[in-house]
Amino acid sequence: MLNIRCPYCEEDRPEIEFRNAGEAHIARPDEPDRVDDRQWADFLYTRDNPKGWHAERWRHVHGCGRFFNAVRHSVDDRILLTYKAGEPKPDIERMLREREA
Amino acid sequence: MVERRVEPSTATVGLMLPAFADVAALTQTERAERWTLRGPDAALDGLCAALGLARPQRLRATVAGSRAAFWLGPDEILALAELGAAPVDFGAGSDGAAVEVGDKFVGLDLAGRRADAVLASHCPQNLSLAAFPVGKVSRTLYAKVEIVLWRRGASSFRIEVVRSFAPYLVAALTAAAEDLAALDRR
Repeated sequence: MLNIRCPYCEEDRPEIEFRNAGEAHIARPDEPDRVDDRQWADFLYTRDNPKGWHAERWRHVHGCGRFFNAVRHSVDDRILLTYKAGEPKPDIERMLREREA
Repeated sequence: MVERRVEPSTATVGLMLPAFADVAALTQTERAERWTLRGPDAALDGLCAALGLARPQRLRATVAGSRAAFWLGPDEILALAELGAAPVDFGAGSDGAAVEVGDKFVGLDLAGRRADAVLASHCPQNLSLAAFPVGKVSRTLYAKVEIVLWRRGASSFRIEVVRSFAPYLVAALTAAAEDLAALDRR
């Protein structure tokens, strides 16, 4: 079981209180009627599936109910950090370098 | 705006709530009025003030007399009041929402020497006094159902559970208490 830090509750909580909600930072096109079908399909369906660090949305569904983002390693499930929805995507490479330094 | 009065149903959980005297006692609380308060902090301040309560801080409850407000999320509060008081005037023009949900939940009191162990048997949160001190409230899980858990004392808890989940919850709590009682007898 993972312990996930909820950035709204500011506590580590057990994974069972959360739901994963897919890749983070997928921006809806500002003007949907000006994108073609291909771009719209990409927005709806095309997702990264990296082997490694991955920014994804989670929801504290059995807690405060809020969506937030987490940077999780898709192989070993380590979570580098969690941050509130709306905050910019962190520079993962730089964070890893700083951690090793 | 004076909210419309809806008389909560008289239905109880419909189960005997056995007391395992030396482990923990489970009792259904009196019927109560409840509201879900939603909105930004300024609106929640006003809605709580209409109930005579201060807005609770993160993962905490505020209590005044027989009324209580639980922090559930950054924009969500669950407020409780005993039946029979004057209708609450939440005021007009607020950009928050107060929805009467008195019949959504059943309140249960779990208290006794091993109340924390009964909860810990199926609740994934750390219920030690250091991690879950008296006065803390959190929405969480017990077995397969969502509950709102409020620690009122070192071994005294209030549980709010959705009415239709209550029979399952009572059965799960009862089974856990029975197991602990059996272990104690060994």
